[in-house]
Amino acid sequence: MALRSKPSRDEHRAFLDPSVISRLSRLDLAARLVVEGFITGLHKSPYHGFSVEFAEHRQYMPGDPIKNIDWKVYAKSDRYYVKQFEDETNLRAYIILDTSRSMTYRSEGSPMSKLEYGVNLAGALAYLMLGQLDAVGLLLFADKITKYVAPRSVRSHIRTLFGELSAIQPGTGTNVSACLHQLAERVHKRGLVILISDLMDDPERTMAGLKHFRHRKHEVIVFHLLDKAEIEFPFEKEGAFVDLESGEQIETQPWEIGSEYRRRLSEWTSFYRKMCGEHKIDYTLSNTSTPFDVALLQYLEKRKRLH
Amino acid sequence: MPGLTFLNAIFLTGLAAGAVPIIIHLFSRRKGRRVEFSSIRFLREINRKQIRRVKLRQTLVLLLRVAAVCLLALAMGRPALRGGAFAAKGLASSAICILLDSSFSMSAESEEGRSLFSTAQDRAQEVVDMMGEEDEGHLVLVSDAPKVSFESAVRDRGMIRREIGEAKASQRGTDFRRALRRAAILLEGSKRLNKEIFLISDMQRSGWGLDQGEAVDFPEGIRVYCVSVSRGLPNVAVRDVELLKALSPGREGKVRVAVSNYTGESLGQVPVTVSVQETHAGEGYVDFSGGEMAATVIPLGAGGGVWGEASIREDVLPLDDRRYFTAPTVRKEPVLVVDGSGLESRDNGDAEFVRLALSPGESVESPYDPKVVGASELAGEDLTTYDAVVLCNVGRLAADDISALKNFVTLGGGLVIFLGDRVDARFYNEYLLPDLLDATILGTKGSVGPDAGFTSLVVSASGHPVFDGFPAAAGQKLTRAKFSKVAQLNVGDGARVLAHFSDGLPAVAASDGVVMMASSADMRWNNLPSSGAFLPLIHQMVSFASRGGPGGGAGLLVGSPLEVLVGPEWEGAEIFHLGPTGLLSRVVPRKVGVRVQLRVDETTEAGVHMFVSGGDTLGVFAANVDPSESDLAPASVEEMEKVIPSEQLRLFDADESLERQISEARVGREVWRLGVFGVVLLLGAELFAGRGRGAEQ
Repeated sequence: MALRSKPSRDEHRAFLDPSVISRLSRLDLAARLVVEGFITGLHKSPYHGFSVEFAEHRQYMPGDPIKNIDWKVYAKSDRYYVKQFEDETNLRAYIILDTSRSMTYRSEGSPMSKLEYGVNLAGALAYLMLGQLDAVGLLLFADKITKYVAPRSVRSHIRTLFGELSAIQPGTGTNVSACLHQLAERVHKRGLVILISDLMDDPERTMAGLKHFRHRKHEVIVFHLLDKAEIEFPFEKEGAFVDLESGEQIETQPWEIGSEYRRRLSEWTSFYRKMCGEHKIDYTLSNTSTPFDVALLQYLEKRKRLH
Repeated sequence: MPGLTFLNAIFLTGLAAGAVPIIIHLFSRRKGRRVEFSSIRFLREINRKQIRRVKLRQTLVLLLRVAAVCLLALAMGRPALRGGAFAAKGLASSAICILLDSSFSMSAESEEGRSLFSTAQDRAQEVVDMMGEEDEGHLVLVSDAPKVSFESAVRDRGMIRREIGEAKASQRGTDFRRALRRAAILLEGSKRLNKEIFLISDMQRSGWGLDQGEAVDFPEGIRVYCVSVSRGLPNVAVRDVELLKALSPGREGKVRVAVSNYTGESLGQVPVTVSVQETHAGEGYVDFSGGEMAATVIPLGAGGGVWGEASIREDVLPLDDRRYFTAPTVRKEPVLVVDGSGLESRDNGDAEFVRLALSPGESVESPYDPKVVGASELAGEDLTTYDAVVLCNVGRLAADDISALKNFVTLGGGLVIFLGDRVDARFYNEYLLPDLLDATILGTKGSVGPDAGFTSLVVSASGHPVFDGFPAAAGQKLTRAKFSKVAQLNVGDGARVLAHFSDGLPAVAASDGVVMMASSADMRWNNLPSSGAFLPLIHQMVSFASRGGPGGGAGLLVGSPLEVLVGPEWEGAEIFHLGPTGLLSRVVPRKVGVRVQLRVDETTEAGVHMFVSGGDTLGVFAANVDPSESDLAPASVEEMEKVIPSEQLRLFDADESLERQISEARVGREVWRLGVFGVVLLLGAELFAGRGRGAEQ
């Protein structure tokens, strides 16, 4: 009987693909696979901690720096172990996920909706951050804040977060700026704010909300989620377009307005990119087909800069 | 002004397809699918600005599509411009058929000494001048037997010109209907755009067959141009000559001459001269004070002779100012009259009146030699020695007799049947009439007695040899005789009704070699035997049934065949046909039964024709021009429209220019290619106008 071999590096990487993850129903499993797949691809393990206080040994995994191998333990046991250090973190991360109705949009051919992508991404980030013993909080909002989970760094906190993410019910409208202002007022300790949203709100007011965080010395990462169809506008047949949030309907000929739509969308995202850049906010435009490691890497780079 | 016409107008119904793009447009609008979208904020802003431009473009595209579909339907309808500059020679392909009237009346000469036929030739050349390089033409010489000059349409105008120039007026009658039908057939298969018939004629009223009812059925698209060359010339003609008393040497003869006045003026007395074999034999006057037709009886000298002519002073048609006649002196035709009365004495039998008519005695010379037998005696007769058999009220016949009669008719003998109260209708229908005459006897109608009602005999087939010499036209009473009892006949397609009773029942039915009268030949069912019409009617029925009779009499018209049966001794003899101009042509005798037939298929000239062999004369015939040709009065437009549908008829006067009107009527040029080009342009414009969508896609 052949033993099942360990997943290869390519197999791990496959879990970064949203189309693969969309087939998994369990968020905890999805998040773990995403993070492990992500880590497998890195040459340097993110799990080295940032403290000097030794915590425990862990079996060497491909990607771990050679320098962290405890050669004494190797000499005794003939196995590779790396040393882990107890984190004395001061990073508090707030994952803010937009659950408005517009986030439920999923075009034909897309692996998942923006909300599903956002949930998976939030889950993966939380898994990764808690793995580094960072404190992770969660805020869900639509036209108002619907859920707030205060940040904690204990490992068991992950279940709470997954439970909330799995139980999300889409809201109706979007009011990004109000929610950001509200949270900014509530959070006093500096931290990392990760906004996952399609930003379907007034850009000026949204930026005002983000600037509010910056004003309070928070680091901000914006994952601007759009569906591929929202970016490319591939519609050909005449029809009535119905707004998912307001139910408003408009009849138009897509082939007539397509190019103008794309131009305006480009202006819109450019505005966010430019304004975020001006205010030192990391801005990443993703679509629901973008592999998760792009977002995770974005986080890690930000994390690295913070330390 | 140029006009637009459509050669395939049926395709214009395709214009309705122009509604298809509109329907699709409306349908697609109504059926536009709902697309859920995250946010329509961008769409709303863009749409508000662009919607007017989009709607304008959509309207333009829709109009272009409708126009393209409609234009395609129009192009498939084969639009053609006609008239004006578009119909100039060479642009429109035309098939023309020139009907050049060559009937006898066209020989009439105007005061300038020019015949109507010459004028018609010039007009025909005008038509040829109008032909373009792509046009094709037919030429038909019109008479009562139209002659097509070319086997197929010709494009060589020179050839058509030559044929027209070499054509000669004939001495035959006119049948415009027949010629028009022939022309329609010639043009029907042509692929040319314009199909035109040019009837160039004096439009003589008598040639239109106005009593024949329905108009000629021309295929759609054929136009008929009637180019009249009529000059309204006055004409007087000898209409008929009847030899009342034989021309025997040493005995005075007597001839009745009828003259018609078509001048429209009162001519008073007109002198008539009669000559026998080119020797003056008598003269007299006809008095026109009573009307348009007058007759006189002229006693002839005792010189004797076989043929002669009656003439008046020559006028515009010299040939109808004389009429030829023959004396039946060559051979008396043996006729077997079968009496069905069953009486011992033939004097009181049904056949007595027929016998008297065929052999009236010394007072009137008859070409017939009748012999009367009873029905039971028929089997003892050798029918091959007779030219005709007349059945008078014969009830039944033995099977052998029926077989012998049918064989007799097959071999060229004539059979005349008179009915009566002894006739067994079922026997006739089942045994006698089949193979002889396509008719059945349904029963009788009427009664006999002083209080019985009556009907009259009305002509159905005007001009038929049986009625030769009778003035009655179709639909007119042949005689004043009254018929109180008649047989009801059902005449099939294989026989022809020559006359009918005034109540509509067929009266005289005929087929080849057989004539049947639906009443009796005695005085019980009618008083026909006591009328003046009986004798000539019996003579001509027997003559027609026996295919011509011994000498043809005076009734032959130019164009008729000459035919005579002679004894078997002439088989293999060298026999010639001697025409009026002295031209001799060899005749090949043909054996028919026990006798020998001499035949010339067609006479072309009026005058005396003979069959001669050595010093013997075997037959003498007088062929005359059709008397109806002498009336030069043209038909009115209304009368022509009875033959040619008014929408297809155009009439030209004698001096009217042809080219202008014909050019205007012609379909000048097909413009469907322009239509197709337009469709391509419109589709190109539609693609251009809708390019936004193409780019998006």
